[in-house]
Amino acid sequence: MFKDVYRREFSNIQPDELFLERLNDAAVRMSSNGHRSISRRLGILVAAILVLLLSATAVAVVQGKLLHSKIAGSGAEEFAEQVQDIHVADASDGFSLMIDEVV
Amino acid sequence: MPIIPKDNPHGIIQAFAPMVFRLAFARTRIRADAEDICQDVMLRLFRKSYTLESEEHLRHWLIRATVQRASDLFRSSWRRRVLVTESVPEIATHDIEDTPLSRALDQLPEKYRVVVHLHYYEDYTTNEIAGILGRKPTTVRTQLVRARELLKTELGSERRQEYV
Repeated sequence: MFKDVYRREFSNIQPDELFLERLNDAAVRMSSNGHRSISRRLGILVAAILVLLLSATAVAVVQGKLLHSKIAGSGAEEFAEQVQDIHVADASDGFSLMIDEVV
Repeated sequence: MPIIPKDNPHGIIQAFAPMVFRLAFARTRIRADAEDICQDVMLRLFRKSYTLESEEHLRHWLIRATVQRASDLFRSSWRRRVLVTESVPEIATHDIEDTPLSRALDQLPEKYRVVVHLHYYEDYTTNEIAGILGRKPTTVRTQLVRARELLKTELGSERRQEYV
């Protein structure tokens, strides 16, 4: 029968032991690398999120300080510095004038 | 019971690599090519986290992947260049036992060899082969009939009694 002859002939065709051994090593390595790579990817993701959070906090702090100084600069303190009191007094006429003039 | 190849690479290699190798060899008739295909297919299985429904499902996946990889190899421009420049019979037979069946299989068109192997070695019916390979059952039956005719012609009338 053709089937028997065919089966007999192909039963003798086997991959080399060395080839199987190497293939097995590669498969084991690849399988364990897969597990490692998942945890590695998670680690990278967490690190990236932390970096983003830190960056955002740093930017917020710097911007807050800038804003605070701007507000302070354009507020009463700065205005007060720019105002010069001018006092005009004429004692003889009993006239007295006080002008707060912005320089 | 579902099978996760990554959980048992050693067992999967031991159980299925010989089948993949034989099928690849049946298609290519060259040991080195069969090893390349076998390696690519088996490692592809472990590269991603596949979950296969059953052992039969895994077997079908491997057969499909092997046939696909072998077709890719035959289509590659590199291989076409090599086959044009080198002696085909020398490549085809240098690393296998020289038997009448072996010589007849060498002469068989590549697309028929897979069907012959799956039917005569792996014991699949033509309908099952069609399902695995995604072909029409009539196409598989036609290929098998033509392959048998060609093999009979190649094996010669004096040997026919032994094989038929």
